[in-house]
Amino acid sequence: MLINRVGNWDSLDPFGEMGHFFSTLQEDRGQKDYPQFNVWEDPNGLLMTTELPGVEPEDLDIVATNDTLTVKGNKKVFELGEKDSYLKKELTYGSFSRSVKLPYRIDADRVEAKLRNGILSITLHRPDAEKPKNIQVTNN
Amino acid sequence: MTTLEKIENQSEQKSVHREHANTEVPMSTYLPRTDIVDSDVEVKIWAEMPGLDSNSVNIILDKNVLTLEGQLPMSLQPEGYALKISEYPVGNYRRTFKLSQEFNCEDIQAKMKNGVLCITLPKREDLGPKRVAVKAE
Repeated sequence: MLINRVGNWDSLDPFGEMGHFFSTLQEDRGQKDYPQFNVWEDPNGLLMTTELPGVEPEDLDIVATNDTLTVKGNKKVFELGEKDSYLKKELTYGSFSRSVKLPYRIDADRVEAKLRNGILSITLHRPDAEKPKNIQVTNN
Repeated sequence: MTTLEKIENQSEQKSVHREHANTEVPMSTYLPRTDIVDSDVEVKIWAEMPGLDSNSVNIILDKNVLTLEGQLPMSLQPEGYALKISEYPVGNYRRTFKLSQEFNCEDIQAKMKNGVLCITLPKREDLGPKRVAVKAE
């Protein structure tokens, strides 16, 4: 039976796959990957947002291929003076990198990234050829 | 000597750091992650509030209680998009600190840059250490 051969219907859901991919990565390392993404979708493609407070645009490096997105960057540490001391330290600094596999092919030449108030928004366009198509049912 | 201490009041305990948050509950209030650095002349507080600009942040000093509040603008939800994967929760921010007597509360300054709020609390000059001269007999 076709359904059985396909296995799990979930595996046909690209976002199911993506979610699985994300969670596998996190389980493997025993900690959350950085940065963390929220992924939004509209008919034209994806919008990925991530929180990068304190990161300057020039310290970011975003690379997109047809089916992966890599966000690399560096969050500079505040230089402490000789007599300064931490009373509380919860922020993290240093370099980070994360690659994610996209649920479908995107147009790597049309990726837009904006950094505003510490939130990075990346818009990924889905080429027309990759968009879902309505299939007309005809009467014989 | 601690110059700042967190107030363990009810509102503080209700908020959590976001890494412990349930991403499915919309618009909760979270504790912003904070660094506090003490130097000779001042104490600086850095609080991460990504998504907020200076207009969406409120800083209130009520007697010796300093409250940082950030209200998320609704426009953060992109129009026309549906959320497919949520790895981080989105919400408002609130954190309170009790200040000791050593600050010059008239002169507190706050700046917001790249989603990080920086508050400078100058110390009162009249409280600085004083050298006592020892006279030779």
